[in-house]
Amino acid sequence: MARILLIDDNYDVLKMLEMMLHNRGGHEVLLSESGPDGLQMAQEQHPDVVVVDVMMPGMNGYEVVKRLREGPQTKEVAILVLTGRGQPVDQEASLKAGADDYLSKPVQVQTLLEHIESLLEDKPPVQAEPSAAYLLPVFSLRGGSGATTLAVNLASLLQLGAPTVLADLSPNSGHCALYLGLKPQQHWGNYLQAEEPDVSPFLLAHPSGLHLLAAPLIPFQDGWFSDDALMQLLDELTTQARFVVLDMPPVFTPQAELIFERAHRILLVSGDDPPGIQTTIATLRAMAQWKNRVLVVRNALTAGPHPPLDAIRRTLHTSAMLEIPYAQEQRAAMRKGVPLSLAQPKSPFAVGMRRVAQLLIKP
Amino acid sequence: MLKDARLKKTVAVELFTHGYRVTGTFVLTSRLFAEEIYNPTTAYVVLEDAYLTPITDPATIGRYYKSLVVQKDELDFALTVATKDGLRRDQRYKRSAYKYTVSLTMPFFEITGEIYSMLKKFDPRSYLGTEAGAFISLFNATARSMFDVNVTYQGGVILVNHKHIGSIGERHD
Repeated sequence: MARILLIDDNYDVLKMLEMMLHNRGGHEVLLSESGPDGLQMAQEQHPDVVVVDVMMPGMNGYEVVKRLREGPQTKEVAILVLTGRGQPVDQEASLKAGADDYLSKPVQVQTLLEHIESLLEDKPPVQAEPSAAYLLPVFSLRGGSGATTLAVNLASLLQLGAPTVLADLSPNSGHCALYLGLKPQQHWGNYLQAEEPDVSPFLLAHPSGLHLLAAPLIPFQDGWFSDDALMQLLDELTTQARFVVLDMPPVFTPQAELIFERAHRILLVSGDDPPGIQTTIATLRAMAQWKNRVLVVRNALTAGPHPPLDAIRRTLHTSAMLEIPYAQEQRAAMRKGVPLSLAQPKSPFAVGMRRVAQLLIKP
Repeated sequence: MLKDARLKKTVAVELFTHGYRVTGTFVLTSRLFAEEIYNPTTAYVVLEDAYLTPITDPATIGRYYKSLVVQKDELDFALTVATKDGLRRDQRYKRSAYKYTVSLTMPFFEITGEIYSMLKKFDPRSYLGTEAGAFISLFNATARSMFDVNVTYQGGVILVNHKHIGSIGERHD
C-alpha cells in the first residue's frame, strides 16, 4: 500500500482514478484539483507517488512537476504524468520536466497499477544524510498500541541502510529482544552498573546486523536512568551507530523530555479507537514544543474497517500522520525472530514502515 | 446520476488549424466525434477545456479556453488517439473492402495512413472524386510536422479536410 496524490482539474477523473487506485490497488489516495493545492499537499502529506495531469488551467502539469523537483521535501517523490496529450513530443516534454513515467488517457486500471508498482519498486529503500547520527524515539502514552512492534521494524529497516542500534528503555519487562529472537542476557541494567561508559559490550547482535540494547526481563533493582546516566547512554549510542531507535516506556517523565529535546524526529504511535485517539490528542498537547519533530502513525491493531485517516487528522489537527495497516502475520514473524518488514518486504505493513522510515530520516 | 454520467462522457481530441494545435475534449451527446466532423449541416466543432499551442512549439501548454469553437472549413485535420473515438457509427461495423496506404500533404504536415475504399485498384483521382466526402478517415495514421520532421502525431484515426489536401498518392514501400 502506498500513498498516492492525484492532481487533476477534472473532479470526475479524480474520483474515477481514486476508485481504481483505492479499490483495486489498495492504495491510500489523496485528491487535489489544482497545481498550487497539489504542491501544498505534496509538502504536507508526503505521498510516495504523485500522479499529475498536464493540461490544467493556471499552473499546468509540467510546472507542477518542475516545482516538485525543486522542493527540498518533494524532490525525491515518484511522479507519473497522466494526460490526454498522448503524442511522443508530449512524452518527451514530461520526462524533460522531471517526471519518472508517463501514461496517456484513457488508461486501463491494470496498466496504471503496474506503472505505480514499478515506480514504487524503483524507489531506494532508505537513504540518509552521510554524516549525522539520528536519534529516533518511538513513543506512545497508551500501552498496547504497538509501539514496540513499530520500533523493532523501523530499526530493522534502517539497518538495511546504515548501522543501527535499537534501545529498549522499558523499565519493567521489555519485549524487543523477544521480537528479534534474542536472549537478553546483557541489558541496560548491566550497563548502568558498569564502571566504563562503553555500551558496546552490552549490545546484542541480530543476524540482520541490527544491534539491540535490551531491557531487563524483570524490573531492575537499581531503578531506571538518572538524567546524567541517560545523557551518557545517548552519547554512547550515537557514537555506535548512524541510527539510534529508542523504544520508549509509556510514561511522560522529565527523562522522556530530555530524550525529545535531543531527538531528530519523534514517532508517536496512536491507536484508532476513541481512548487511543484521546490519548494521542493529550500527548500532542504535552509535546507542543517538539511538534515539528513529531510524526504520528495510526497503527491498526485489528483487521477490518477503521475510522478514515482524514477524520483522525482533523481531530488531531495534524497533517503529519501516516497509517500502518494491520498485519496478521506479525505473530508468526515474532516467533521466527525476524521482523515482518524484513520477512515480507512487499507486504502492505512493510511498505508502510518503509515510508515511515524514509520520512523520519529525510533531511 | 445516469443523466450526469451521460452528459459528462467525453473524448480527447486534437485539431490542427492554421498552424495551431488545439487539444481539448469533445462532449458526446447525440453525435459521435467523427459524425460531428462529417456532418454537413454544422459549420463548427466545439471543444471544452481546450488548449491552443503553436505547432512550432508543440509541447508547451498554451492558452486555455473553457470552450473553443473551430470552423470545420478551416480545419486541416482532427486526430483521435483511440481508433474507436474517431469512427462514425457506420464505420464501427463495416468498412469498405480494400485497404490502401496513402500519403498526403497538408499545410505544414505530411500525413501517412490507411484508407478503406471500394476501388479494387486504387486511383487517387477517382477516390477523391467519388468516395471522399468533406473529410477522409485515415487509420493508424501519422502526421509529420514540416517545421521539425522529428515531431510526429500519431492517431488511431486522423480525419483530413478534403479541401486542404495538396497532394495524395498510394504508398508501395
